[in-house]
Amino acid sequence: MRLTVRQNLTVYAGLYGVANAEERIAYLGEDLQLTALLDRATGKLSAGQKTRVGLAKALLNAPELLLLDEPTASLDPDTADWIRQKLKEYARSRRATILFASHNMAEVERLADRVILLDSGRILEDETPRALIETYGRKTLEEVFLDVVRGRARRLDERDKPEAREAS
Amino acid sequence: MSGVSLEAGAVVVLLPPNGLGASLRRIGALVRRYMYLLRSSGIRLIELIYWPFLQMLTWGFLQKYLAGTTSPLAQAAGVLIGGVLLWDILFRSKIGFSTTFIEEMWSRNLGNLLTSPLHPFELVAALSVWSVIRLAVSMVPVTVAAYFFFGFNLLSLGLALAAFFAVLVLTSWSLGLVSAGVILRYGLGAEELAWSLAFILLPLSCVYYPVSVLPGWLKPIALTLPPTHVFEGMRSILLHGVVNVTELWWALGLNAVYLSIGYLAFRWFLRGARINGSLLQLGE
Repeated sequence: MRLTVRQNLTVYAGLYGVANAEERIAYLGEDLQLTALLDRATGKLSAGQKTRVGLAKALLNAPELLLLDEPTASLDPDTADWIRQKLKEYARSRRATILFASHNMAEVERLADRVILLDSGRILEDETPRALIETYGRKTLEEVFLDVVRGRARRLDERDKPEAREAS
Repeated sequence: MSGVSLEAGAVVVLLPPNGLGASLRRIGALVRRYMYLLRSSGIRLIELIYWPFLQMLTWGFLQKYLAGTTSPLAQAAGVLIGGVLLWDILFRSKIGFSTTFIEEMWSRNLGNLLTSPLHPFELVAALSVWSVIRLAVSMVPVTVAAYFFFGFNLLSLGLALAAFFAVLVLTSWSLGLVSAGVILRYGLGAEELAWSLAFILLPLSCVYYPVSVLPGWLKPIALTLPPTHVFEGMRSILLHGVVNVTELWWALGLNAVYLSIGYLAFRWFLRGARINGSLLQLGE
């Protein structure tokens, strides 16, 4: 598909009912460092640039709830960090909720106020990152994730239960 | 990269999300997207005219040849190019609808569109409007060329032409909806259906010959297809100068049934794709 960034954003501004589309696109272009890319074909952008365009599209209507799937996957560390910073700023300034799916536990630890660990559609854990780390007696969320996924450790508060003792 | 405050000072003016105005705006946004795509590729534009033009030339020369032979054949020849042009209205409109839908899947954009405020009926409306625009881009130059090359004036069908056009386009949308639904359900592996579905109608709709030619058991089947009534109507005008209004009413009534079935099938397949998550995975 050969639409430029500006054309793509204009179409989605129409779908989301943004009345001041031109102004909004110019603002987001500047804010997300896309101004120089606005008239380039979206398909020819790098992964990091495409992510920023995707973010601009998601923010066109300044939503109170933002749903993101792996927002920094396949990005270089600098761009990924920049995106995370942007998301935090957006959530704070707009008082928005961001619900995002990620396998990057360092990212989750940095961004999330609340973490839900899922396995085959089942909720295994639902805590703040700090509470989860403390509950499992680990140092990082990644260690907790590996414990849960590999079933190699239990929550500290479950280790004293009779079935846990039997298992060990 | 440096961080700057994302939202401070930015004002977003949002229009009401519901109502007719909102629907028209979203349909317009999508049609604008298709317009951008067409404008971005000269080859695409040429391709829209290329095939119908070749088709018209081939059949036009055949008509010219037949017209120079015996009298009955000369009379029949007049309806050939008319049949070709009307068939192309159905076929090109169907292809326009299906190609646009499939391109959304190729570019993995369908999930983006259907997680926006766009309603399925608005997507269908945008595809329908765009199929007519594509059709106009294809057929207007070809119809004009048919007049200059072979002296065939499609407008000689008079007001009935508008009715024929409406019937054929409505039929093409029904076919487009069914093939889009099947592709949603079975993925791009079923895309061949989008290209070939209209051809099922070619022998049964009696594009180049009257219904009376068909064997007895096939006639009722042919008459359940709206285009059959269009081509019978066209022959009635070109050969006898008679506008058969009953044929047109039949065609419109049948179209109402097929279009309803097509839309319901599309919604059913779309619902299935949403529930099993394939909507977000569909693509090349």
